[in-house]
Amino acid sequence: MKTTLIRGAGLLGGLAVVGFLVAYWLLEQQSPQVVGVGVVGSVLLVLFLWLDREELSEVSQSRAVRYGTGAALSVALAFGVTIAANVLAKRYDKRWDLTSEGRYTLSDHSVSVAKGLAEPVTVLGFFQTGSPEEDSFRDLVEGYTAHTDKLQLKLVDPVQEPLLAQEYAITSSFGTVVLVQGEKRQRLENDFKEEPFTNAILRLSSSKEHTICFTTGHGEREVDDDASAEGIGGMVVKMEGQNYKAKPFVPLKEGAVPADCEVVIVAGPQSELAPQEREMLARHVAEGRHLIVLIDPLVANETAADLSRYGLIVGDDLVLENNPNYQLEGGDPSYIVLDKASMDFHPIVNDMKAIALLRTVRSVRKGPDVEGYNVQELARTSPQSWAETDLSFVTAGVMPSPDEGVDLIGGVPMMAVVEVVDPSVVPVGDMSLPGGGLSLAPAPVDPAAPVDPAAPVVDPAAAPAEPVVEPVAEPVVAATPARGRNPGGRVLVIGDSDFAGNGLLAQGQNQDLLLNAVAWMVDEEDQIASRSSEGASGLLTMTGLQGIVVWLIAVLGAPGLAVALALRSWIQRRSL
Amino acid sequence: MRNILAIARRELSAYFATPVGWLALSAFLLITGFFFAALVSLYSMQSAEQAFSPYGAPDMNLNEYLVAPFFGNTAIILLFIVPALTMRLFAEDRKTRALELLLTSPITTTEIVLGKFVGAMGFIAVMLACTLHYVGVLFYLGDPDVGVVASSYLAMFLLSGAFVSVGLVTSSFTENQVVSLVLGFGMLLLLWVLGWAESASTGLTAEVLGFASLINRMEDLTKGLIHTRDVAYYLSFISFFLFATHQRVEAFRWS
Amino acid sequence: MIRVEHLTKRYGATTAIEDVSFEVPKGQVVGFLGPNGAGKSTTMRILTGSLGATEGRATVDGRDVFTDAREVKRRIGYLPEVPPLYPNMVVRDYVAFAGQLKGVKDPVAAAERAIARVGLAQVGHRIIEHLSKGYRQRVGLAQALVHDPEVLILDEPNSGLDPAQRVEIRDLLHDLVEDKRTIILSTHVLADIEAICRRVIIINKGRIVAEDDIERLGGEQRTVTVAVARPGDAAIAAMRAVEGVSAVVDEGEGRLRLTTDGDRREHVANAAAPFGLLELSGRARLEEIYLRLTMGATP
Repeated sequence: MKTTLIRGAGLLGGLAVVGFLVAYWLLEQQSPQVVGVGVVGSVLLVLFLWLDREELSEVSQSRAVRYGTGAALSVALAFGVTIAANVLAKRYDKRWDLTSEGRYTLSDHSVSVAKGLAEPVTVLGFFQTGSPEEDSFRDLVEGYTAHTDKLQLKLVDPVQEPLLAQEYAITSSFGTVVLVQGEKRQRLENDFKEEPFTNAILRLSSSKEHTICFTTGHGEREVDDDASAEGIGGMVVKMEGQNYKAKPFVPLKEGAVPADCEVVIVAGPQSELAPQEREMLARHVAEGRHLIVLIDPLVANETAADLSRYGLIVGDDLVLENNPNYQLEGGDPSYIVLDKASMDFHPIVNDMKAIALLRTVRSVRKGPDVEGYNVQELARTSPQSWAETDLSFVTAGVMPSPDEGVDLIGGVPMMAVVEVVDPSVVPVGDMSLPGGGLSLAPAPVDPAAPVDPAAPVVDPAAAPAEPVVEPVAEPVVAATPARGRNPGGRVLVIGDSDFAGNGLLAQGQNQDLLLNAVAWMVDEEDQIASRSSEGASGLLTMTGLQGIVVWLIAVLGAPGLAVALALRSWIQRRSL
Repeated sequence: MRNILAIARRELSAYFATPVGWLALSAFLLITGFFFAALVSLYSMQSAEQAFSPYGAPDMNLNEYLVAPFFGNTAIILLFIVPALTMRLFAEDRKTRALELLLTSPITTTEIVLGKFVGAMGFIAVMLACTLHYVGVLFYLGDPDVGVVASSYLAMFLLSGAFVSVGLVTSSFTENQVVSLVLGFGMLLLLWVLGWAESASTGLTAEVLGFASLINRMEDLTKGLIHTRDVAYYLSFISFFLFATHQRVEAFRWS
Repeated sequence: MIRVEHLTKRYGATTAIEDVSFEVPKGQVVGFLGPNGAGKSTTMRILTGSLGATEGRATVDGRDVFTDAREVKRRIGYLPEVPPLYPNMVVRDYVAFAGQLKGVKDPVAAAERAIARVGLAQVGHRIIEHLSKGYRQRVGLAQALVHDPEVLILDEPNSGLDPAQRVEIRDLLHDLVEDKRTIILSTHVLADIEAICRRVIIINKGRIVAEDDIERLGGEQRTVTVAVARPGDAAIAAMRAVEGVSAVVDEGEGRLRLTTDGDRREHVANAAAPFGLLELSGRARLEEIYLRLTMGATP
């Protein structure tokens, strides 16, 4: 009884010590509990050896027993050596990338970024355990950790650790990566390849934080609302994940766009912006900062028409899609699907591979050429669509048809971007608050910036809002102009705001559309989701005949040959 | 070395002298052939669909969608076939008493164990070599990555080595080949499903299980990524079981 | 050539052999005699290195079988009780394989020589499992001879064979004796020992119970059997009267078995002559010694 107890203790102690070694070296767990297990185990083991010493020395007397014990012991020892070897191998892992395109080999740039890391970064990978995304992300991070010990990867299964997932607002089922350095966060979704990851590290360590301001007070989508379908909170969370700071403001209250706003987003105003507010925005752009206007049809027409000052014509219309390939399954024609073919060539949309889904869209097109502006339409709907100007059908409930000469028919542009090359071209009127002078003096006419009165869809109401241009002698350069880009601001107008609302945000690449736009505006083009198609030329197609031959070779050929050889050998051997 | 090769050669030719060897080879080729043809057909269908997709072609990669699953399946087939190949290595010798020839010859136990190991690996090399024509078909039809294919074959070889080493030790514990087969297969299955247990557990346990699982350590290799830790895992795994076999065979002298 | 000192082998609680010591000089042919389970095979397996001993030591040509096993194995050809055959190999390949393992320079030629030596030339190309049992035994012998060993250890080479095969193998062994090898041969067939061996070691219950030249074994006590034409009490009494005769047993049919001390054949013949001496066999018969020694140990 006593011996059994002692031996049991010895066994337990041995196991505890092995477990401790595994936990301590292999998993680098150094919690007090683990160390405690190790200490208790050692004590038990020593106790066993001491109490059982007579028995042990007796056992080692005879040759056979000595040998048998020796064998058992040496196998146990070999097991220990095996574990130790694996622990060392895990610690000092080297890897070779045998793929021809060097898929798992980091570029020199990424290596230098990894080596240059000064502060520790925790990489939280929210993936389903065992998913291919998790695997390839782990491979990727291992490429970095080979060069730095500042990077810590922690893989989290959102299903198993819902609290953590909630803390980081994880919604994507395909995975989300959050890089954490102190208070700073960088967020990656959908695309976990080397380039975006390296850029995320760079952004994290460059302490520059961009401020994105959202106008409020005109029924815009709510920045704080990340629950209802109308809110834009979901989008804001993604932006914050990119190290952007979101800041709502009421322009009339501030008197001007705050100086720290690099980008102002007007997210679907339901009522008109006051004329002064529009002037504030124009000044903001003239000063070389940026503006994004998401404007829905039927509302805020005056504000929409005012965008003509940037060389854009926003139609008072509703784009309807008639091409079944681009119609949403079960949706009405006011849903607009954009895909690669819909997009023009521009950094914002170049890397859009999946679709974007918009709902109730108005047309946004390039107005007459204006010297000093570079205007580009970014996306068009399909040739079978048109922009219906007779909006009475909305209440009548009758599906209209395109009216030649009145409606824009086929390939309706609904997204356009303006680069201000010459800031003096931007007409900026009086921004003084009501009472201070709503009377708008006619601006000195800039011949280069006329608002084309012939534009058929411009709400005539916008025409009198001829802005007063305060001559901006020297453009005030607020944001640091980078990389020799032109000093003017950038303006993006999209004839829809629903796509950025919580309701549609998860569709296709809706969120990338706005994130890309912001990234482009603040000169972080490397942020733009680039789903580069590395090694995508891996298609394989067969003719029907080839298919049959493959089946014949694989299923009949080789096994048949083996069976034939087997028979031959059997017959030969039978007579021997 | 000479003795190892002599024993290995004898073991290898024994596979071709018994129905078991030929049966295993034919079954292996039939099943891998079926998987190969099915995967190629499926992939070519997907490729055709991709080519006409209105949403553009997402990442379709021959290596990830065809080569890796093919070798994944091959690994599972090996899991079933290798124990049938290794069951006889010691069990049969013990049953026919031929082991006594080896034990009384001026060769070391290490040479006996390694000879049998190399012999079985030789047969597996033949089996794997018989799948090379699939690769030929792939190169004819598409553009697979040579590096990925090469490291996948390395993975198959290392994995088979691990299987053989386990089969060797279980074969040395019994004269009955069926018992040897069941023992070997059971042990391999256990080591195999450690990977499944990993996804069902968390934290420390999951890491240890994942680290010890035979299947997990193969995945990077079939992607064309050779980790020293994975190669070291298989080599140390093989060494450990060969050492255990060695101790077991030595013990025949003391039983 | 072979020296065994205090060899003991225990399997757990059971003792297979205990304190076995003997010596075989170079070139001698020794018979190992004992009932089944006496420890013959165990001793031989220890000598060949396929089994370890619990205690004691054994040397072959001065080399320890445990510490210098490789050199010892090189010098020994061993045919176990069940020949160590690979049934699905061709005879020639099998013997060549054995030659390779034994470190023969040209295994193929050595195999051919060994095959010819044991008279297997005609079946060299056949598969072992297709051969008769006698032939398989020969293949086993060829395996033991392939490296031309100085020592040959044969464990029951005759067991399980039919009488004709038995004679064949015995003749073969007889030929082998002429090769001047040191041979240890175990058997429970006495005729083999008598035909082949010069010396015999009798082992029972793990211990050596007798060890001597066959001629001398049995010491003073010998058995003389006489057959007379006219048996009867008178004849028995006459035999008893001969000096040195300690017992007379009537075996019937005119045969009398006498136990004598020393060689008393001449006197016995003289005494038996009046009764019509038909036959007299006076050599100590191994079987009797064997039976006496092994049975004697059983209460």
